[in-house]
Amino acid sequence: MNRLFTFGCSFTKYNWAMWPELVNFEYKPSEYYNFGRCAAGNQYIAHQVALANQIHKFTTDDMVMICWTHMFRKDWFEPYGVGETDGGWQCNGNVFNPGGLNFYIDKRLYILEDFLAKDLLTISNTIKLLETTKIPNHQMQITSVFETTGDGHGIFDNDVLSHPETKPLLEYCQPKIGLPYDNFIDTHDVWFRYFPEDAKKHVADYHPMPEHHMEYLSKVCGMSFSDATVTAAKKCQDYTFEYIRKHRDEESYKDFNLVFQDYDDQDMPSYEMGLCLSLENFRD
Amino acid sequence: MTNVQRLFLFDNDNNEIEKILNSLQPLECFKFGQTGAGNSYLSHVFNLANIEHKISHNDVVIMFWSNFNRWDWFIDFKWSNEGDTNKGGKYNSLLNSDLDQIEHCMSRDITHMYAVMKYLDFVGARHYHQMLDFTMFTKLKFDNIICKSQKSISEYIRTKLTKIERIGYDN
Repeated sequence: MNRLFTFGCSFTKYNWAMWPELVNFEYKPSEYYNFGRCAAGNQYIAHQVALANQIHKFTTDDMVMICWTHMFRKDWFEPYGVGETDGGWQCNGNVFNPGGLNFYIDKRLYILEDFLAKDLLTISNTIKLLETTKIPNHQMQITSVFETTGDGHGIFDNDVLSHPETKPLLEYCQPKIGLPYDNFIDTHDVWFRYFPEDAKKHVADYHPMPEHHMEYLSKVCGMSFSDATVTAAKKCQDYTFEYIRKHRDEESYKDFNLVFQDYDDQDMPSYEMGLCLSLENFRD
Repeated sequence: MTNVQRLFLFDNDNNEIEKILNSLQPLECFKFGQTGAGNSYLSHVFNLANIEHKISHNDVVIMFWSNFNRWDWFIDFKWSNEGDTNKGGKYNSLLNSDLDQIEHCMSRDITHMYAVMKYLDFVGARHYHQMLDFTMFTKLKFDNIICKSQKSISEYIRTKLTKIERIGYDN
């Protein structure tokens, strides 16, 4: 593998090492670019792929890996920002989440089939770009992108999925995208192993831990991992939970995410926290 | 231009199609698009056409891209192409002017246009592209540090844009 390019939402880049870190650690590409971004939608992801292709000129020696996200997201490019936000792409996650730019979107535009049609276009364009140019690639998904709207907001009925405007694109895309994480990974199980008390309250971060990613990459992308990677992933996972345990204030922070998000400078996590991000920090 | 077997036309507004047909005289012609179509819709029908007809190096593809300030809506199992947002429309009028900026629409559209153009480049089809308002690109400023990243794709697209009426005469 010459260069590794990875794209996705928070399943791709988060507060601890996600799947790109495992691939990078195992396969040691000459260059590694992770374009993952929390709360990104598929439009943002596709745009980053096009941009990276134009700037870095993907070749057949590279590997491009994309993890598609929920379709019920809207990304906006705002060069000068809106309200108090900075300029650039605004990614707010699921449109039903309160806050951010979702506040500005008229709810009458939350049209199920419209989200489906636009993500089908976005995803099929991207896959076509890579397949036609024979760029080695893996397509993944955090949930069943074309069958559910994500985050528990309903599912599409057959009328939408079998419509002449959607069916050909679905049939083109679906076989090329690997099984979704939630088909066989329960992201709570590892969390509850480290924090059994949370099982009673059924609270856990739903982002996969390193051992989940390893299982997913093995099953869906056919990757195998050396002992060195397995060991580093385990150490990283242990360290991450230790960090959470140490900094978690269950009384005031019922939301464990705040352990990571409540630091002073969003761009500069502390050294201690930053260790969670890369397997390289745990290499023997 | 000679030996045009299949011609694929993607049109947003009944652009000089008759003139093109007379000039190229293809054996087969497939026309897609409709008045008021935006670039999302045009990319969508391109993908459907490509799946059905498998566009190849023997084909000629002509794309009349629309302006950036259009939204296409897939509602009640059909596309609603309401044209320019400043002209209103049932769904366009629900867009928030704070969000619906030309830079956003450009970022959305150039992703699609880039994918279509790159694909046609790779399969070796002869392909020609025109925008309804060619000056849209020249009006946009990429000086803003945030917009600089868009510049590389935009420049690629700009090199592909031409005046369609010249096809058949220049070649």
